[in-house]
Amino acid sequence: IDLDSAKAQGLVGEQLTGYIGIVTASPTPEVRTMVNEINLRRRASYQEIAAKTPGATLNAVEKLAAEKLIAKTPSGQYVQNAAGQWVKKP
Amino acid sequence: CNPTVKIEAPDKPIEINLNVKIEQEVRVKVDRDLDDLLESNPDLF
Amino acid sequence: MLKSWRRRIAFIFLMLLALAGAAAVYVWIERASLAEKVIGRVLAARGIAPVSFSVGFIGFRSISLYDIVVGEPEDPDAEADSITIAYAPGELLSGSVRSIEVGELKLRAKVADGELSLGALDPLLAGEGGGGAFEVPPAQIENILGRLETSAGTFLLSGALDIRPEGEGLLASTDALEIAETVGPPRFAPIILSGVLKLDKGMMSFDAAAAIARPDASPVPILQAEGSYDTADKSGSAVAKGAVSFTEGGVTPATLSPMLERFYLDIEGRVSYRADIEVVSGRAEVAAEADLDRLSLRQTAAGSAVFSGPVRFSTVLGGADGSEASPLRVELDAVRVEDLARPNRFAPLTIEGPIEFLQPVLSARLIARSALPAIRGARLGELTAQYDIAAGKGNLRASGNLEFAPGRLELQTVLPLLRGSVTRMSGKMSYTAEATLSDRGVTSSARATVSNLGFVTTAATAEGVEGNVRLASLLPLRTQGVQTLRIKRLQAGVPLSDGAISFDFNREGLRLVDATWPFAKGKLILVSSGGAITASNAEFILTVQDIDLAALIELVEVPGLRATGHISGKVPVAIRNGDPILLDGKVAAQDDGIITYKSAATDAAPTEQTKLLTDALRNFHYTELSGGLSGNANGDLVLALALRGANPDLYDGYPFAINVKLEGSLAEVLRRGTVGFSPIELIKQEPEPALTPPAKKMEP
Repeated sequence: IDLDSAKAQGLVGEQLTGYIGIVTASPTPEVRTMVNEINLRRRASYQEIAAKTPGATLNAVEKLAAEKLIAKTPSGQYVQNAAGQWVKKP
Repeated sequence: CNPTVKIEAPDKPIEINLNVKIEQEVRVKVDRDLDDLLESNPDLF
Repeated sequence: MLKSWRRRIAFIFLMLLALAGAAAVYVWIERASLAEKVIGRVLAARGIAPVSFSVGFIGFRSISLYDIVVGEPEDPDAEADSITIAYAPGELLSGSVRSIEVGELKLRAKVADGELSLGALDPLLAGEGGGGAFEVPPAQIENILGRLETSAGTFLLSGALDIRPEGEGLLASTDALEIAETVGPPRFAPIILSGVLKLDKGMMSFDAAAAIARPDASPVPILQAEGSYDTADKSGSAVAKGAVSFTEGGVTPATLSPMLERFYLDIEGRVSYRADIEVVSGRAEVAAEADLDRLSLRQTAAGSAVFSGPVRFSTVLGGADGSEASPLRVELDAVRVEDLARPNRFAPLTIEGPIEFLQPVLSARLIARSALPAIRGARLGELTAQYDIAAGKGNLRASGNLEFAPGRLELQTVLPLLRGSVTRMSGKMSYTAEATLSDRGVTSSARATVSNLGFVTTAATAEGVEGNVRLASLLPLRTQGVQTLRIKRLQAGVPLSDGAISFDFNREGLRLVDATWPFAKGKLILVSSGGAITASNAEFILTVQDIDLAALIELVEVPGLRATGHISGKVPVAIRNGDPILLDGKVAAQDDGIITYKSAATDAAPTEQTKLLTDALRNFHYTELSGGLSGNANGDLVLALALRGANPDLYDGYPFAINVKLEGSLAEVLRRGTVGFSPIELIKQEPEPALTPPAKKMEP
């Protein structure tokens, strides 16, 4: 299973932290492993950007990435709202 | 005569309270990098 | 005169006729016993003796015998309940019969070094006895029950057999002849043969199909074979082809060979095979190739896996004297192995190399390569294994040198269990692992040496990791006590270099026993607190030990700031979704020290407060310096600094209590060279209103 189909099936969604969160209550081991791996690879990339940008912390990069990712999410797919709940993007 | 002034142990040190917030306006610098990142890793984002 | 002469001839003729009639009648009445004597003598003449039988019915067209026993009565070579021989009177005299029908035929045969012997019936075969071989008539044996004793075991042949002459030789055909082992525990299930066997003056050729009999299901076709064999110079060739599909509840290895029952081999998938056999003076060389089509082997000691790909076999049966057992050689070209466990413990790989089976020991020397598209063919290691099937014991040794590179060979791409916990792996790792298999289960150990290893985990990015790790067991994972690795650079919110990490992985799980980094002429020591480190729970105590303020400030690079003294303390740290969270740590200076801060220029309008502060800090002798540290090392940290002391040049050294709360990406501050803000920005926020300075303002 890949990220796009997982998102399309509403199994996962974009969180405020810039990482993927599991929406479904009973994720399969494959989904869980995929989410862990994608988040780890995202973190490595965010880390790289933070390291080469003076004064940018990892969290700052993550937060900005989250804004972009949530903005880019097509409507109907899950994103975290300001209160951190899963909502379908209008 | 020179007056001697005895300073008793001060009951209260001069207190200075300072709150310093280090705001880092990094939005601009990181923005472009993030766009490139998102674009070049469709499987990740 | 003539009349009497003619009358005398007629009389003689009549007498002869009467005599012939009587003889015929006599023969007809006594035909059974006569036939017995005649056939007895004919068989004896052929050297087939002793024989006993009774004649049931004799007619012009046929004769039927019953209770035929050939050989010693108490241990006969052959017995038949009924034989019916059909003939035409004329042909009988010339020794040929039209057909033979045999009811229940019990036969015993021996095969010794390629020679078939039927005991008392041998003359039938070779026809040495007297008048040459019978010209064998077509014979239908309704139910043959042959006992075949060979060096490879004793077999019972049962089923219908049809024998008919074919040119010079003889053609035997059957559509269901069952062969089963009779002595000892059966090594293979009964086989049902169908096909034809041609015997032509010592030259044998056959075309037959074999299927495995099943007690309560239809037979399982396993192979089709054809070939020829010259019994004289004992050479020939044969080709066998076939396929078997193993399914749960359907055909299982035990179906083929009950002996495999005790191994509980839970196998599924399809195997197709072809064997070419060359026999030269009794010595058979077998070369076979099998193609495994997703053959899955489940519940073995090492879990279950799926095998696909070509496997070549070769062996020699029956040496010149047929005694020395020759090994079964197996060659794997590139058999693909996939783990069936979910999630996979290993990614698909291919194994290649020789396996040898010399009863009872199986030995293999295989090379494992990755079958992942991105790194297809990358050598993962070499595997040598020995397994004694009889003793059920064996050992396995794997070793290899891996060179990691992000996006290509990485540990987590080869061991998917690590996916999600480590990525961007680089550097080298060499490993050796041993495992022993016995009825007590699997014991294993391993040793890995890493050099210049780099990787990214959720909580930290490591570079230049060096050292050895010894594992006391692989399943379950256990280290051999505490293991230590040196880490050139670790980025965990705070950049740390030249550290050494000691960890232990035991029954409770992974624990950080001690991790020490030199830092600003002092030390940072990280130790596990709370339970074992798991993905969701990782708690530590960070000990700050004798950090030299001067060195620290050099790291921080705040121009114009100097300080002396040492600070120590403890900071509890918890990793929460990957961020090191500092939970209200306390650090303090053990002794006094001096802080001097000469700010170059203050463009911001100095407030009353900041002016007082800068004056005080121009030469501040502190007696007390303590700090509270908390927050997210990857994000915003809060440092609450409390200074007690005085500036001797200010208000006669009137005591000051300075409380500075620094908030923001403080860890960033430590990333030398990347900090792009000037100290002035440090003092941006409006300080809180402070107490007015003391009423008495004494100027000395």
